[in-house]
Parts: sequence; C-alpha cells; structure tokens
Amino acid sequence: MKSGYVYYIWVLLLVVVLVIFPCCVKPQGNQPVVEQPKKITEYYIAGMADYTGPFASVVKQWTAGADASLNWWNENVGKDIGVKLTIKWYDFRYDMATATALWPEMLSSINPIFVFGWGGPDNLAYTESTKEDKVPLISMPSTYGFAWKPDTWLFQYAPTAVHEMSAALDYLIESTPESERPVKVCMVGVENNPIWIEGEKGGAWMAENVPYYKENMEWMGVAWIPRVPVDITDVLRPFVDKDADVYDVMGPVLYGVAVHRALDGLGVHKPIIVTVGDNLLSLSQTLGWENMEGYIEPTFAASPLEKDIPAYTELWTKYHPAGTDIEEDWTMITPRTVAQGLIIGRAAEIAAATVGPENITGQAMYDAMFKVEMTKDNSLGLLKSGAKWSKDRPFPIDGYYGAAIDTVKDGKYIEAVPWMEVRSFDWRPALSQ
Amino acid sequence: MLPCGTYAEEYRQDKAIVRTRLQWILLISFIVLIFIFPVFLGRQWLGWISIMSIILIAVVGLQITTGYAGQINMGQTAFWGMGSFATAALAVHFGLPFWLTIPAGGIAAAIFGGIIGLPAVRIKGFYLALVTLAAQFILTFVAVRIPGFGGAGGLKVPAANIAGFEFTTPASKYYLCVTTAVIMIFLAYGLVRSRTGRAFVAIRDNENAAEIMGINLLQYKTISFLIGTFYAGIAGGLWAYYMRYVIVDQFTLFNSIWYLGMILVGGMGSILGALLGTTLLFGIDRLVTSTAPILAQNFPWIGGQVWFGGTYLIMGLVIMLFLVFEPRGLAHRWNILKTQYRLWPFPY
Repeated sequence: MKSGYVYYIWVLLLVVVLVIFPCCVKPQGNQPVVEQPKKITEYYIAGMADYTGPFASVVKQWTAGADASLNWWNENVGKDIGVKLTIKWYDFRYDMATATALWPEMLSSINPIFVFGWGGPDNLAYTESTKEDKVPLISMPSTYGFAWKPDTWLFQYAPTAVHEMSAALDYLIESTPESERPVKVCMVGVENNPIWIEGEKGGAWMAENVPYYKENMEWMGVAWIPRVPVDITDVLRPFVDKDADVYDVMGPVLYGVAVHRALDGLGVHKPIIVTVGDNLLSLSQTLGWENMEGYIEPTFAASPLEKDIPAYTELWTKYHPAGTDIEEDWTMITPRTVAQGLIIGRAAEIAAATVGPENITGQAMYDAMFKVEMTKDNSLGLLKSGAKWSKDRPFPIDGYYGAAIDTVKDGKYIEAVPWMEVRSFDWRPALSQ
Repeated sequence: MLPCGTYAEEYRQDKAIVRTRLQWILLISFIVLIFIFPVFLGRQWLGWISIMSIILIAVVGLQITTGYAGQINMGQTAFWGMGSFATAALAVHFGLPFWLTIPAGGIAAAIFGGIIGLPAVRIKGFYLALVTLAAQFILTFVAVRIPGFGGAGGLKVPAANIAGFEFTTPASKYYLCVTTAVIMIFLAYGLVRSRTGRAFVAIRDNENAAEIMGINLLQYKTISFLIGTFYAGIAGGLWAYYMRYVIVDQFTLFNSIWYLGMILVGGMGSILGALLGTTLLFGIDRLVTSTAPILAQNFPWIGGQVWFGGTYLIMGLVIMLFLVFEPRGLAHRWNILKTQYRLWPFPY
C-alpha cells in the first residue's frame, strides 16, 4: 500500500516537471518563437470581366493583373492587418443588361465590399445600385462623359477618354515640331453609341475651348463605323481625302485592325491612337510591329515597357496567377489593373484601421476612398502622379493624374514618354449641348 | 384534353380558361406561392424572377406575333427599348405615375411596331424578318436623337411609387414585375382563345384560306404586331423602373434572337410554351453564369472564357436539340405528359 502511494507521488512529480519546466525555460535566441496565427477575415471583391463580349481578347491580362495585385497585397499587407481580399469574377459580357442581372446575384452570393469594375456598361448599370446598396466600384479605363457626375459611388483613377486622347495629341504635337499646320484629328466611333457620341462632343469642345488645342489641333469629327466593322474604307475615305493626321480609335482590337486595313487600302499610313481594348501589344499580334509605325498608346499607369518598377519586379513576377506568362501577359492593361487592385487594397488598409479588420463594409471602403492617397511608392511605381479622390467627380482631382506614352518606332515597341502631365479641362458643358 | 367527366353544359363553361376545381386549386396555390416567395427567397432569386418576369412579358408578345400569327419579328428588343424610353421620358419630364407611364410605354412601342409591321401585309418569311431587324437600327438611331430621350447619356428614371410607397427594394420590385406578368399572361390567354386569336392562327396556317374565309389580312397582321409590340413596350416600361436607368446600349439585337430561341424551345403557338421556354433558357443562362465563377476559380488553367462561354454553347445546343427532337417544344411535351397521366393506366 505504502509503496503504491510513493509510486503515485513519483508519477505526479514527473508530470509536473514535464509540463511546467518547458514553460519556465526561456527560448534561446536561435530557436524560433512559435506565434499564434493572426485571425484573418476574408472579404470578397466582385470582379467584372468580359469573357464573352467584345473585349474578350484582353480579359486574360485584365484578370491576371487584378489577381496578382490582390495576391501580393494579401501576402504583404493583408496578412499583417488580418484581412484577406478575394476577387470573384463575373462575366458581364460588356453588356449593361447582363451587368444589371448580376447585381443581386453578387450581393447575395459573396456580399462584396467593393466592385472591381471594367468601365462603361457596368458603371452605368450600377450608378444607382452602388449607392443604394453601399458597395463602391472602381474602374480602370477612362471615364465616359456621362459618368462624370458628383457624389457617386463610382471611382476611376483615370480621367475621361477625351483627356486620354489629349495626352496622345500632346505627344504627337510636341514630337512633330516641323508641322506647319494644326494636327487634324479624326475619331473613329461606333454608330449611335453613347460612348463615341460623348467623345465627339468632348473632342469638338476641346478643340474649340482649350487654348493649346485651339491653336494646335483641328477637329475633323467622328468616322462612324458599324459595331462589327468589316470594310470601313468608304467611311474613312473622306477623312483621308481631307488629309487627317491621326485617328483616335477607342475600342477592341477589331476596330484597330479595321482602321489599319482601311487606311492601308486607301494607300496611306497615319498614326492611330489606341486604348486599353486595342492596345499596341494586342494589335501587333494581328498587324505586326512593322506595320504599326507611329501608333500611339497613352496609358494612365506606368508603361508596360517600364520593368524596373516594384510593380513588375516584386509584384507581377512573383504573384502572377497560374496560366499567365510573365512577359506576354504584361501588356498595357496589366499595370493598370494591378494599380486598380492596389487602390482597393489601400482603401481596405484604411478601412481596417478605422473600423477594425473584422468590420469592413462597403460603406467603410467608400469612406476610406476619400482618405486614400496613392503615391508613386505605394502604387509600386505605377501611378507616378499619385491619385486622390473627392466627391465632386469620379476620377482623381486635378494635378493627380498623368500618363505614359508608348509608340512604335522603326518597327519596335518603345516607351516614348515615361510620364507626362495630362491637361486639366472640364468639358462637361459639351455634354448638355 | 380535359379530365374524364368534365364537359360543358353552357357556352360560358366552354369559354372558361379554368375548367375544373383542381385547376382552380392549383392556379390559386401557384399564385399564392408566387406572392409569398419574397418571405423565404433571397435577394438573388427575387432579382432573377423579377427580370425573368419582364422578359416573359416580351416573349409572350413575340409568341402572339410570331407563334400565333406567324409574322416573324426579330426586333422585339427594339420595341422593348421604345417602351422603356417612352416610359422613362414621361416619368422624368412629366412626372407621371408608373401606372400611367408603363401602359403609355406599351402604346408607344405598339405605334412603332405598327409602323414596322405594315410591310407584313405584302411580305413574309425571311423578308419580313429583315424588315423587323431594321427596327433595331432605327431605335439606336432615333433614341439618341429624340429630344427628351436623354440623348447618348440616357435617362435616369425615378422610382415607381404609389401613394408615397416607392418600389425600390428587391421584394417590392418583384411584386411589381410578377403582378404585371401575371396580368399580361392572363390577357394573352384570353386573346388567343378569342376571335382575334383564331384569326391569327388561321393566317399563320394558310393566308389564302384565311382570306377566303373573310379574315382581313391587313387588319389582323397589323393587330398582331400592335399587340406583340405592346407587350414588348410593357416589358420595357417595367425594365425602366427596374433598372432606374435607360440607355440605348441596353437594347441589343442579341436579346431579340434569344427571345425567338425561347419560343422555339417552349413551343410556337402556345402561351405556356413562352413561359416554359423563357424559364428554361433564362434558368440555363443564370445557372451557367452563377456556376462559372466557381469553376473558373477552382480550375484556373482551363480559363474563364471556357466556363463563361459555356452559356452560349449550352443554350445553342438546347435550341438545336429541340429543333431536332422536339420541334413542337416543351409545351407539346407537357401536353403529352398530362394526357398520359389522365389516361393512365390505359395507353390511349
């Protein structure tokens, strides 16, 4: 009996030693400290993508840029503050009706705190819904005139398409000082489409009212082409006859190709100003660099050719999603969607600091957007003029936007202007005409 | 085929749409079920059903023009658009209530449809299809130029309201859309059983025979367009209040083609067919749209385009299979099933 009692005492002592001793001993310097994992709250971003519409040819780079930026943010920022942002893509087919039908589905299935917008139909479809349901939206392409409204829940980091054209024209005018007459500008637009009708009004207004363009630019109007252009030679002929110097082609690759072929058929070669949808890299796959001499690509984020910025070296090369190619898929679109993702991330950071990482809502993100100040550093070199928003317009306030210009010279894709200031002018009076 | 023992003793009974007590019970239960849906259905479902109800009205209209009267109409979305713009313009510029603007939108679309439909008297088939196709381009051209339609920027529409109650929540919009759809379907059932409906069918089956029987082709063909496009206009009016924004970009030719696909799948010349076809194709579209993001996320190497593009593939396949194996559509299949059930255990 007595020996049994002693035995139990020994066992008890052994347990005490085994349990308490390790707790009392301080870890040595070279031993890793096991940290309790931080609680991570996951939030969803609803991503608008055009998988089956007119811009399907660039959707891969579009989604890749966004995915990469949020992967980077989650790993480098979100993990520390206890927030994870996950983007879920929806095919809105670049169609307003489809976008509208998606809204209730997105809200009920993922309860997003932000919408990663495409620009255009989704902006229009969600003008009211974003405000009513308190889910802000940010888009990357230039604003359309009719989306230029105060007190909206829509954000952009680029000003309007007319401003985008002005950046390209500034480059063209400055790079051809030998020209003795104003540069003759023709816009190519889709028949009866609101986007180009606004473009027509804005272009005409700019030529008449902005002193610099009044002196250096002649607005020739819009060459109206069908939604699915086949042969637009006859449409462009009058402009060629009047010796247009440059053609502004906002739209998918299809439009850029149609304009190039028509001009080719008419025996002229003139610069084309391209945009996100028909960016130079995408266009080159059909036309070939040797046929695109002088084509201009203005972009509101750093040029895709500028590869010594952290956005490329630290973010894209390490966090690009599976199935994408580091070189091929870093087109004009990718830096812009990366920047768009970084803005959402920055807003999430501010929202988490304000309401706590577990209480982020669309309202908190909206409020945070007005405290966001993007700089060259926190945009990883993408937005060199920075960006800052106010409630009076969807895009950044004056002085906070600029553009890079790429072009094709001697059959090579080159960065023509690393960064330039984009002129501030308010062409809204043209919208009421 | 009516259940055994059901026969009419009076003309009134023979005319009735609902003939048996069981039919009444099922109909009332169905309507009650529809109206209590918002209690237990989420926002996503309410949104889907609301949009489907709006589409259904336009498809029923197309069924009347194309399925019953045999006049091909490939511009139903254009008439829908005209209804939307007229409704929006009346609401914005004159502050008229929705119960006036929506029917007015229907009338505007009917006038537009009547004008487009006039050539139907002389032409038919593919030629008529091409003429109606022009409606699409006319709308795009006209909508941005008619003063009051908002130009290229479109029109922002105030919320529908009645006695201070605004239809802004998903549930309230659901009730507005579903109630209108129920009324319009009920009217369509009445129409196709009327003298006018029978004239439509006669014209569709044999124009010459119909004319010899004394049917005024000009009158009835125009009426078929007027009514079909009126339905599209009503759908457009609802759409304006549902979207709260009307812009010409919303009304694409693509949708007109799908609406034709819906009546093909559901069954030409049947209101039930319009209902079944719309439900099936809209359901497939929503199913693919909501599952594609999940598939794209879990199988990124396949590529989002494959998953999302699947919608068109599946819908095209469904239409093709129906044309091959069941050209008379789901409504016919439903009638066979119903007859079999009533005759069971006898084969015929």
